[in-house]
Amino acid sequence: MDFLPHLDKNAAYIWACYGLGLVLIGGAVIGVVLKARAAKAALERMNADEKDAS
Amino acid sequence: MSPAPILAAFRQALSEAWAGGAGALLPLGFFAGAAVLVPLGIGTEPGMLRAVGPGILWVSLALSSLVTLERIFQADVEDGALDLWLQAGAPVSAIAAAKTFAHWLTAGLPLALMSPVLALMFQAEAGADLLTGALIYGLGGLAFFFWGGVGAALSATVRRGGLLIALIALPLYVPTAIFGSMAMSGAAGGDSAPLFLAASTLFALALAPFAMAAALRLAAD
Amino acid sequence: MGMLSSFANPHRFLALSNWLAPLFYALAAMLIGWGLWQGLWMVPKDEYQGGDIMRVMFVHVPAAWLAMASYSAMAAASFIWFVWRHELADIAAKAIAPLGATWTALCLATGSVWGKPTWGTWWQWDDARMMSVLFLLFLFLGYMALRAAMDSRQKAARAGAILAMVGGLNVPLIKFSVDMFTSLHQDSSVITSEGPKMAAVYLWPLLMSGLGHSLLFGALVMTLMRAEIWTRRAARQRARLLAGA
Repeated sequence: MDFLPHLDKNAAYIWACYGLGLVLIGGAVIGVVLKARAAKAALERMNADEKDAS
Repeated sequence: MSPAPILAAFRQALSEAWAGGAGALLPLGFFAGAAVLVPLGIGTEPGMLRAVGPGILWVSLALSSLVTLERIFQADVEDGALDLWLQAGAPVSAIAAAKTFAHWLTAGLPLALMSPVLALMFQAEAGADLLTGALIYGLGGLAFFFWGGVGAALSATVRRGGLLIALIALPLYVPTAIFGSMAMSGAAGGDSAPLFLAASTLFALALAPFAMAAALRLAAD
Repeated sequence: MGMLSSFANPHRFLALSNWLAPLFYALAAMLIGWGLWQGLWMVPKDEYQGGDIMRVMFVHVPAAWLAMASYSAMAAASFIWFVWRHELADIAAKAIAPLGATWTALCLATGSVWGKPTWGTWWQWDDARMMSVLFLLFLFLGYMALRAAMDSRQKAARAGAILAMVGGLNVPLIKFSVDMFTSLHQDSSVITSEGPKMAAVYLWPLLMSGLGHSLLFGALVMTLMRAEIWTRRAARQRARLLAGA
């Protein structure tokens, strides 16, 4: 664990903030990318259905 | 363009808000709640009550506006009267303003007029300040009702839109609440605060009716 | 005008964002990575600012910048839609809202955590910026709730635009009133995120982090817009299928 920075007494607060950043921003990225993938897949499914129907 | 639809809207809103005398209960209810329940809840120490009194009344004013607003436009949407108002030949913004003003008259103005009594119960010093206080609460209440009216118009088609109205209105209430409480407390910014309050109320009176009109047209579609 | 038409035309936008979004993601990852490295390891600790806790500013301050900037962007996009009715402008406003809310929440949360060891409380009513950002969060949430409550996409666009514009016009007034309020109530010295004058060793990581966050935000907005365009296309095709069949 020596590669982690050595922080003073407020280390817990500092890690909490960076952790919040990771969770909220990481969560946003994951959510957005998943949503885009799902939308693309739904559109392609719709195109395929239309092709089959015609 | 005739003023008749605007006056009609005003009169109808007034009678709806008054509701055969029941409308008077609302401001009285908030007044009583503030005056009676708060000291029971937070204690009776005079210095503290004097400090929190103005703030309590601002909160009562804001809450009373939120409670009445839900009905101001939704009833018209439900019974189709909104379409008639939109075709009435008067600017929709004026009609919306008239209705909002009527609701302020029934629920906001009484609280402002009763504010000297509340202030005395909250250990304020008796004097001319109480009357300027009523004016301040009057001005502030107008802003609350007009901004809240924007929220009400936007939520007119939403069932049980009360929470949405509150969420929309809360940030818009902030400047009035701040300038109003500064004006009441007479703190360092106390001289300019009433002017800022008046300015922000005028801003609400100028802008809100147009936003309400756009939202009402949306609700009617 | 040619470049501007990318913003009006969904096809052009999809083509542009197809390469621009990944580029933004990559640049953002590098800048944020560098900012993290600097902020956590390299930058010296400043006892005047409370020691290591000021490292939090590398997360908190970019979040604050984005909170404010994204609301302005959302209001501007709403205005553009309201006047010119470019569907893409509405899609942009709709995409910005949840992301703006996320960064605003991050700003508030990190501000609160920063405040606890610094001021002793989890929430400081004296801090004008935190108060303004709190109301910004309400504005975002109200916008999202209102759009969600509308029956149709068109109504959601119109209602959202009205609210975003009213909110946008009020933001300067809210900030002004909050500044007045807190300047009266300030009792302790507020440790500003920038210090008396920020030395370059702190400023560069801060600016680069800010840029990185902005690029990431832009990439995420573009991705959400792409998702929305595809969703609307699928819905239109479904409607055509049902109508034609």
